[in-house]
Amino acid sequence: MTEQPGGGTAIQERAEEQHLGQEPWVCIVWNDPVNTMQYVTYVFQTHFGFTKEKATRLMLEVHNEGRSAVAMGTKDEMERDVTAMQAYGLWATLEPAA
Amino acid sequence: MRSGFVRDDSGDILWYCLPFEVGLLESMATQLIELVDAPAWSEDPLERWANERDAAPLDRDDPALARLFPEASRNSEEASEFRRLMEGELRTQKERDAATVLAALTPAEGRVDPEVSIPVLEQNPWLRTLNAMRLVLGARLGIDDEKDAELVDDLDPGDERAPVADVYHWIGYVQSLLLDAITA
Repeated sequence: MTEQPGGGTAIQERAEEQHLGQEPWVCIVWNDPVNTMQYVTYVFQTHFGFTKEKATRLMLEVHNEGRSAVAMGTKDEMERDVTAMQAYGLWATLEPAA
Repeated sequence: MRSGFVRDDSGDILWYCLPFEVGLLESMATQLIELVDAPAWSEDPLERWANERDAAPLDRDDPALARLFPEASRNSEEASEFRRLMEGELRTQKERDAATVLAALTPAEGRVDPEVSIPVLEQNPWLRTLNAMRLVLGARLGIDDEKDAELVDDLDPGDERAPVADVYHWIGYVQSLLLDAITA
């Protein structure tokens, strides 16, 4: 698999919507031995509205590299995204964007 | 005889299943609702907040609960803030999803040729609930990494974990068929 920047466009789009002075946070999804690749791809498409190609690329990044930043935004937004991912049973955390 | 998941033009899905499948999912959904032990629901936000505040804390020493409700940060202060803000909502969400599945199964109970209706709006609650069942069974089977998962895939039929592993694999199979029907 070739290396691709995680999250790509959506991260940039969200970053541009940032309010001035708010530090950006990211929603991280971690690899997990139980959730299937098919299900994780579906969740990324359904919750974030990603295309199948992009959802698959992020899923593979989780699978191969152990984690992927799937969204970026304010801390409140990332708490909502992590909550949604955990409701789907994905192992999701939030952290300040590096 | 029709079998499996069939989607109509409106996107609604009918599942032609077997009586034992209805019984097994009913039992799993009931156990899941007991496990997440959601705070009592109220239409009144203030009362709901009080119920969440007074709810018994989750036993995170139980690997199944630890996996259903993972710590949301490696920073313990952040993790505890997230729990305070979101845990009640997550417990309620998981209970509602499982209750949706249970309600869909009830009319099919006891029928020789059960048909379970899964309308569009209930499809994500179904997927989330099947997934939660897999996570719970995966935790009970001690699956912590990919190697454990492979071992569970190749258990000796005489192994004491084999019956649980069978249910774990079957739920994965049902989830995958439902996903195929939704995304076809």
